[in-house]
Amino acid sequence: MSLRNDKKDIFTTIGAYTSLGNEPDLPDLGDTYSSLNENTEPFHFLVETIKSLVGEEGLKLLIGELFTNLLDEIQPQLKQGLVNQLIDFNEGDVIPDCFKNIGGGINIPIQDIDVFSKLKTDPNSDIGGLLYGEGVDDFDSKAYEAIVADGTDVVYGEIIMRYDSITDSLNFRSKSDTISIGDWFTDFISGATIIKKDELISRIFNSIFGVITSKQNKSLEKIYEEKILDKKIEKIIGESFENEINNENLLLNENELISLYDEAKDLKNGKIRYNLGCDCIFEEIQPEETKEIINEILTSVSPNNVGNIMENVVLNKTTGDSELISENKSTIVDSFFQKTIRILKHELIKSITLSPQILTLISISKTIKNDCTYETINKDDLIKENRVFIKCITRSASNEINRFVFNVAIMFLTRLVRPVVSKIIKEKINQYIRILKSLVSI
Amino acid sequence: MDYNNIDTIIKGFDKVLKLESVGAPTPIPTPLIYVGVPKRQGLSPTKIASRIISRKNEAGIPVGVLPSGNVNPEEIMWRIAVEEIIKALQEDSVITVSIPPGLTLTASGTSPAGPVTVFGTTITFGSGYATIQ
Repeated sequence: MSLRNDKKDIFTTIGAYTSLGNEPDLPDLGDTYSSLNENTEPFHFLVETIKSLVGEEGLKLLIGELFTNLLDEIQPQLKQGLVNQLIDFNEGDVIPDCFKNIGGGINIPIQDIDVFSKLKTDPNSDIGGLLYGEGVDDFDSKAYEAIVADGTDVVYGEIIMRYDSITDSLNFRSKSDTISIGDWFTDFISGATIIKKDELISRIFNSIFGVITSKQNKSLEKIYEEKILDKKIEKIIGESFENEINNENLLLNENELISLYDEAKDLKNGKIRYNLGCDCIFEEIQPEETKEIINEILTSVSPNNVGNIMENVVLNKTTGDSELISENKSTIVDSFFQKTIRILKHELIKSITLSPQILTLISISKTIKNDCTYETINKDDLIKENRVFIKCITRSASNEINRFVFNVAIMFLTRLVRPVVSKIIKEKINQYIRILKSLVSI
Repeated sequence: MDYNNIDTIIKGFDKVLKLESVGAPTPIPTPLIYVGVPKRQGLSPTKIASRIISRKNEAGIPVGVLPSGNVNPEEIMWRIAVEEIIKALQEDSVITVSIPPGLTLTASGTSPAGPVTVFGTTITFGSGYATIQ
């Protein structure tokens, strides 16, 4: 070639390398998938994987699956996790005299186990129906029965409880006098209801719409106190399990406290403001209406139907500029679904760490280990004092919830991959046939 | 499986997404390769580019000259791209063939008693080079 062409080659090659070296600024995936920037906790990543696989429809179906099948699937594992945490070195010992039926029992002040003020609400009231759920008796409804029947024994599973209105405390005794400590906890937990499906859904609705809290006539200070407990649980859930939870991790800064106080005020007024992608708020929802929605959810066997019910709820209950809502419909629904999924996990973990039943079991276990001396816990120290138990139970529950969501994601992934696999196999067969033909037909 | 561990979760997804066990190629009978390959015409950038250009309409892109009557530069670009790829494959690629032990052989040689013929198998790996045409 001529010198001119050789020189031209130099310039064009430099141009090519320059162009290849300057990669364009591609959109950062972190803007679309916030789990990329988060810690090692996989739950959010799992949810976003489902979203990336099937979009908003995937989240809708996931909510349906979580509401219809999660509790039935994970309750046995949750119970086993509780047994593992509550049984200790003394599991083979016979229960101490103080806990025997013939003994005096263990007295626990109501305020130490009822941190969300549930036990003094009548299960037959509008709000009580939501708080306790319907169907079989559980620990909480029996505890309420004991409070009403002041001074009378009420039996629930392996436990006998009696309320004392003077000290506002419940006295707990074992039904059996000869059972070992390990067997008592195992028998009690295996026969207990850890959480009812309708109760869990009510609590999710309460977290989103404030349907129960705003009608319970709780003081602002009480709601604020509960919000702080919620926040601390959220911190434990969000913590990497590899890190040790220490007391500093649980401290809330001033901004967090101000924000919680504002949320408590909104909740007291029955209005909750969320950033749903537009300046919209949820309309107040009445207990009767909530019950109807929950019944609709419980009677739906198809996760798809449940997802549709939840979608209707958000669309019917969002208020604000109607044009703005219509424009942002997809964003609102998506934010609502993501929030609901997060709250579901949060409320489920609360049920197995801070419910009256669980706090009673923790108190009994500690009292037995402490030579029958009950030590009351300052509310501010509740999480701090029980942090190891809460962290271990949270880990076990998270594992089960993540497993459930992982399996849903794998179901979608398999649907995505199946046609690709069949395409690759067809491709390989055709390639083989083509190569053979090209070798023999010439 | 630890579902609290993000690495385990990612590995679980990778297992499904990588499709590692799908589509392993079936070996071509070697005699067929020996007989068939020498009869092939070899790679032609012009043929490849024209096949790609003719299939553009499968992607909804019009084929042929521009409304102005000029040659479509994008089609020229395809030809250039294919030419460069084939050129690189033919001039720069290195194909190393690995031959496993166990090939049957017949060899001849000499011994103090005179010429001998040996029948056996290779016992070491062999290698060879090849080029793309």
